[in-house]
Amino acid sequence: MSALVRVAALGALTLATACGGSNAVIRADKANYPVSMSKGLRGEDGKLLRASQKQSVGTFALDYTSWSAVWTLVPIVNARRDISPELNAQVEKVGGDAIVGLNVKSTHCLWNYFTIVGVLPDCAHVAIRGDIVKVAASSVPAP
Amino acid sequence: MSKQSLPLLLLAASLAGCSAGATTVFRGNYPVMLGPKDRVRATTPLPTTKLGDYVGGAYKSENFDGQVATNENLSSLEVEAERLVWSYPDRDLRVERIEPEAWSTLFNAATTAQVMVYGQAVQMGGK
Repeated sequence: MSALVRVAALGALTLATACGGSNAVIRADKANYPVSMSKGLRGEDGKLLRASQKQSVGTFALDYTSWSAVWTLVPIVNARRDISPELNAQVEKVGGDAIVGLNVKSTHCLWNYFTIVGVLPDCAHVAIRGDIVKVAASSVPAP
Repeated sequence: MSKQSLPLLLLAASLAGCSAGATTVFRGNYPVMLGPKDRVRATTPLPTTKLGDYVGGAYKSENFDGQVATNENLSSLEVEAERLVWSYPDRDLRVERIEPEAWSTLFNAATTAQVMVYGQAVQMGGK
């Protein structure tokens, strides 16, 4: 292989890397339980609950990958997702009343290194975590 | 450096890459509610008055030379939330949608991840 061909091949391979990404939209419009992204949660009477009234009974976890193409212009998979089914199922499974401390993490996929300057589909990992809590029946207002 | 080695170096640097990740963190005891339920074991929502739209987010960008730009501690978000909510026990944030995103620049010179949070600040029970 001549030097010129090698240079051209490596140059083309380099150009093929990266320059892409993916985005997603998360909603929970059909959640049957309260979901708080902080530790704050209101009891049945509308007053803030004390930390001692919230007993952790499990961890909510949901991981998925969103895919899009042409620099996020074309959504492919998981571009919009209502996470209510997973929320409802996991809280019900452990007998919880709510989720607190829900957080969302967005990270890259290894595949994004090889998207031919964003032309091929790109992806992003989404990791959602939270604490499933059970709340004492009688709520006492926080100070 | 020879002409032949330049693309190879670029390729190696590109594939070495980096992988930024951003995470939402809301500290404190003011409720930041996602979804229709605003309290435990209640079927109907409490009356609220909208105070204003809310946008915040976590952001992190990482270059392959090791430089990192971030607001992953959500300082701007916390300041905004504090201004709207923290001092008022009857004020909450209602999250309408969360938008996680990740992308990289040409040759993976930098990768960026962010999670934007869109919603409203509300006052419980009206003004």
